[in-house]
Amino acid sequence: MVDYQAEVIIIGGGATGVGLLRDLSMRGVTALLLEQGDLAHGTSSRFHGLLHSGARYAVKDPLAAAECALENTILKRIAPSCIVECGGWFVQMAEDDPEYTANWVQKCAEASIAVREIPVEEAYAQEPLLRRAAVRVFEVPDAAVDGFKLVWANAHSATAYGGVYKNYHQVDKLVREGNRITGVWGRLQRTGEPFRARSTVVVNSAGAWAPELAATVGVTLDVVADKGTLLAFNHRLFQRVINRLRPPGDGDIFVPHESITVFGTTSDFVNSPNDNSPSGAEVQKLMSLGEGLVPEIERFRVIRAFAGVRPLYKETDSDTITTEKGREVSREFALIDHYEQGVEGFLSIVGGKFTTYRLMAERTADLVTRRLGKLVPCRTAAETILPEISPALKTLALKVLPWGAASKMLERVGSDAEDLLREIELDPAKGRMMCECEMVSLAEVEKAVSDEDVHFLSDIRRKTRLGMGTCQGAFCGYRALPLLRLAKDKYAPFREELQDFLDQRWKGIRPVLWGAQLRETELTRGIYAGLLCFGERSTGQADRGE
Amino acid sequence: MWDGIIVGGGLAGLVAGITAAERGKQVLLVAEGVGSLSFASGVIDFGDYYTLRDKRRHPFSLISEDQVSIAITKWQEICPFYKGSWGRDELVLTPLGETRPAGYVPHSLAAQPLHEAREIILIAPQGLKDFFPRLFASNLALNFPRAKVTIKPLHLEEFDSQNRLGKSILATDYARYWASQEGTDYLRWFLREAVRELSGLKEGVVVVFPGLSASFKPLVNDLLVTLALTVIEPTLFPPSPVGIDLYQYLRKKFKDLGGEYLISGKAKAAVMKDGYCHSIALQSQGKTRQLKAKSFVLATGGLFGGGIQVGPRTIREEVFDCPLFLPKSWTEDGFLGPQPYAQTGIEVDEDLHPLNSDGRIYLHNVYVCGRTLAHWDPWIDYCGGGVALTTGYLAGSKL
Repeated sequence: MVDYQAEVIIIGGGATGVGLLRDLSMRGVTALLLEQGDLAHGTSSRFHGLLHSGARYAVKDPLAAAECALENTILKRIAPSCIVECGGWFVQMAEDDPEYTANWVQKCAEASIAVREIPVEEAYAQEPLLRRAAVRVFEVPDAAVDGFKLVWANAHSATAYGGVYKNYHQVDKLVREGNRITGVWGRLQRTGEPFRARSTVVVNSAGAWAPELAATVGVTLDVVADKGTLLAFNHRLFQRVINRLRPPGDGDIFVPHESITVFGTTSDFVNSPNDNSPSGAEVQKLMSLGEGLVPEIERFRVIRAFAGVRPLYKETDSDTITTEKGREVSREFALIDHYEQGVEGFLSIVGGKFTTYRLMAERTADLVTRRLGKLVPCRTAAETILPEISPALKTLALKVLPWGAASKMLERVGSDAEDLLREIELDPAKGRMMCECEMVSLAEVEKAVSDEDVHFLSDIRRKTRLGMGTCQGAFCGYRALPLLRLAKDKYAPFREELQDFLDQRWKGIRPVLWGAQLRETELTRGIYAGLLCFGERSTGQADRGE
Repeated sequence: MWDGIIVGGGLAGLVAGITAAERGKQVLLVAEGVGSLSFASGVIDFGDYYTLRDKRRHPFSLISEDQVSIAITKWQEICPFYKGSWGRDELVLTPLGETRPAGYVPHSLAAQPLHEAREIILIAPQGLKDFFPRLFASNLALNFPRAKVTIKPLHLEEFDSQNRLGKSILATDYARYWASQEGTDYLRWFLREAVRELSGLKEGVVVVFPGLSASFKPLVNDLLVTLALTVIEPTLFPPSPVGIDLYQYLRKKFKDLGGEYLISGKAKAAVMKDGYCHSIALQSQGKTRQLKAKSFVLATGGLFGGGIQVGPRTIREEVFDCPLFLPKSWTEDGFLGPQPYAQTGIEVDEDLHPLNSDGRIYLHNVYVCGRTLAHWDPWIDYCGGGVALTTGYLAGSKL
């Protein structure tokens, strides 16, 4: 049985967890992060990818707004390769309340959020899809952020400082000796093999899964699971983030990411954090609401729907929470030392926003270092997460790959790209595009396949973006097959692996099965069920491995 | 005024057109694009015909076995190089080198001889897109344990610049090269070398060669006959040269018979009165024309071909606004299992007339065929080509 040891154990590999791993590692504290699935498989990759300016919360949640405003500027500085500074607009439509707008402008000023009014005619010229019913338009410093990329960047940086993360490590329970938590018991997700880990402090950063974990030592956490569904459009509908200027509600944010646009969200309490399937009804609701900003929304192809579960924190004196709507719960975060509940050496960091992950990590690390008696100040706000990409590396990338593929690879792989680029330089066949939508080369996929923390086709997807485009894995998943076969014993027989991958993608396609996406789906079924006989009428000659 | 206008240029539409044109009818075929045949493997499957025939409302339940048999005879007249016989499955190789049963196949795809092989030579054309020689070879070895499988790489200077740039080469590019005189000459030399490297004996040797499309390329086919060498092609990941060649072959056949073929025109807004269609509007190159005919064939490919347009809240057959059968639920969990939405389509009578929901004929001079029909799923039933061929033939013989 594996036995790990560290000063601090962090449970949960979302943005907060990896942010904390990086923060502690930079302060010279030994830390081990345990993640039940793959890094960023939960809420940190299942949101609209909006780096808030704070403006959305200015009226209702001034503290959260001010925190977002500050973190927005910090993250733009320390993680420029994960953020696109596209800016954002808040648009008040004819039917929206003008008094709310007036109040909002004032509250933004109070939270130090830069707001600039844009003449409506200019707004239409810049964003032609916008419904011609805008009354006032305001520019704010919203931005688009890539959740996967930022989480991986933090993980890489933490590793460079000596931090350790283990994915597919499911923590089953905390080890309690008297009043102290001294470590955790768990098992490897894939093999069921048990492990234990010992530490002085355990931090629960499991997001929506945090209450389950706390409950194993009888601690109650007031975190509610609030499902939000989003749609990914196969177009860049807008050049910037578009928000509806009214009290935060459903279907009022569009965020452009490269060649797609994410539109959301909905808000519904769910019983389990694993309940992240988007429903047809939610999709229909979003499409109707979307018409309020883009009248012709039905004309645009939806690639998939997806849902994340927000872990919202509510300090309760009453049990009114079940009757409240998710929108009314604060977006502030809370750091809880369970000392007060009679449990020592156990902290939970809950609530908050993706935008404030760094601040949450900083506050947590401050408390952890105090408990450990190591008073080292935080440096995460000052130090860039990923090293700058050198001009020489850029030149090399452009020499061996087409422009688009080169820049996308550098964005994804960063300074580690050099080995891959040298490989392609020697053997141009390694530069072939496995995924033509996201422009992922054979060399890059081969590297991902051989990484020790990659176990499934979906892990390769999260690392490389393979399968995130319009074909939803139909073509590129197929191309990854021989690689899985070569790395034998590591993956399931590829027929099952691929079926599993396609079934996961199907979850997001089902609720948006119309138009071009339906035709693409028929092509995919034709290829896999018809041509390759992977469907129900199989010839019984399944892959038996070499 | 045409005798018949066929809307849709896939397998069903082309077979309908050829059938009608052979009977001396003046027919016009309008197609929006090159159709989905270019995605197809070229294999014509009938699935488990007798089971499907007994399924309520399946297209095969509307057609007698005699009619199916006539349609197949017709097909073998149109495409004499197809191999197959009723009641006995052919065998083809999948793009991964596994095997699957098949109905009627271009003879160069028929993989039965592999069972007799002692030596299998797998040709691996350099840079061929979506083809994995080592994986393919290991599957061949599993499926044909009596044979020794060797991979023979093939390098063409022709494609050097693409290889140097790290670009894949499409099977259709290779097929085009083999069909040229230069390509055939090289192929002759290459195959002789391949045999010489082995024992020099051709007996018991089977060459598996992806992307030849030999059934459709006379020069290549003649060469293989002269060499007296058994060469088999696998089905390929799209775009497949065999699918594209089949499409071009059928289109030429139709034109040679006097059929008029119009591509990149979108048919919509039919003019209908008292249960008859008088004309359809054709939008092409920015203009709209009204086209009149005595009868019409609807072969627009349903959900896949685009003849049935599905929106987030609406669903509609585009040309005649035919009533549609809609399943109660739309999707199921397992992606590759049966999917209810696939059953969406037009319900017809035994003459392929579209029906109203009350079972009465919606249009008396319109015949519906292929994927646009309701109550079947080509990918689960394994009868895509079979339904297209038989209903296309039946529709064509009504004009």
